[in-house]
Amino acid sequence: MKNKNIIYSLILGFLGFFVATYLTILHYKNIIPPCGVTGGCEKVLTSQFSTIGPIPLALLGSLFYLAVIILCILILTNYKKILVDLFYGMAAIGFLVSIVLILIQAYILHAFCQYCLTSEAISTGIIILAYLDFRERKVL
Amino acid sequence: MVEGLTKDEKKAVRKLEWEEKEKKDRHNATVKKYSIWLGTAVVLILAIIGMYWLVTSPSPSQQIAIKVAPVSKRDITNGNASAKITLIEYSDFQCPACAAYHPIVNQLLKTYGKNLYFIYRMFPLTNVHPNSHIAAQAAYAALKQGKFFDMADVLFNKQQEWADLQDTTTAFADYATMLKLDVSKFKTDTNSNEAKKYVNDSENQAQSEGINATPTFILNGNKINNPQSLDEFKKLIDTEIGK
Repeated sequence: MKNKNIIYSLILGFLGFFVATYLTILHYKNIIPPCGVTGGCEKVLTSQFSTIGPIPLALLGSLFYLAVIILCILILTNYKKILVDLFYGMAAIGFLVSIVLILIQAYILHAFCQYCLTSEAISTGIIILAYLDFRERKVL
Repeated sequence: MVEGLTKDEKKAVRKLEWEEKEKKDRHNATVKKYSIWLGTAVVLILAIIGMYWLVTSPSPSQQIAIKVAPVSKRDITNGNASAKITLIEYSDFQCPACAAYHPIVNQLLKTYGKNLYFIYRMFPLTNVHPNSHIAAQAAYAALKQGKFFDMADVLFNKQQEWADLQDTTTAFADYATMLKLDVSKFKTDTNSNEAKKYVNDSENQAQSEGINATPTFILNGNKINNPQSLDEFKKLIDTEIGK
């Protein structure tokens, strides 16, 4: 199927949106989520790195995943090459941001937030699918 | 008669059928697109509502991110400053819930001994508890004579006796006598500007930190949901020790 990687990315986009939205609401409500797996949630989520100015990083994450969702649906219903290029670009940005955030957690905060790691894993999944999609479209 | 159609007529009919099929296909495609977008919007809105519900439904393992002032010289403390567990309580002497938690706190102090550093921060809710401010002042006066926690015990144990009094002077003087304090010094200190300032500053500090209820417990820097029992409280502390 030509678009299977796009469909998988769409699914990941939804999952990422759920996680990022959860974190966004937590942020505005000033609540720390249950954190049994990694233990460091409150350190990460209240750190200076959790916002860019007045905007919570989680909100930017939600918007990122929303963009991925919209792009994927457009590609599936209204295919244009530029949409695919935009999708690759978003995937790359999401992945780079994820790397930076993981490094911050590991080396600066020395604490991990399991929900953030989930989102970072999802972004990594999206760029892998984007790459696979790129390979497939080259062949076609 | 129109038994068979001519070749041209057959062609026309096929063309019409084909055009109708095209129209239907285009229509179906449009409906499909609209439903995909509509479905997506519905899923996203439901997700937002669902996440909001998840966040706000009460959960014992969720905590409020509150940043409180670190322990300082002005604090009233009990125990070992280098203990692994620091427990801060924001408390109002006239608050019934605080009175209910007081024996639990005393039990914790007994159980954890030098592993627990306990800080009492006054937060009189003066708008609902008219005698809370003066009670805190009285406790401050007892602090000056080295018997803060004894006075706190008495104030909480006898809360119902003094809570509704118009004038607490005699009652508090009696408690001071019970605790073998210098009563006239106690009375002076209770009404001193120093005591009033300490209590006011404590109240303002708590409000600025976003504390909005008593008792509020901060365990190793994190506000906890008030545990329902001594055992639940111990479990929280034990978890913290294990970290």
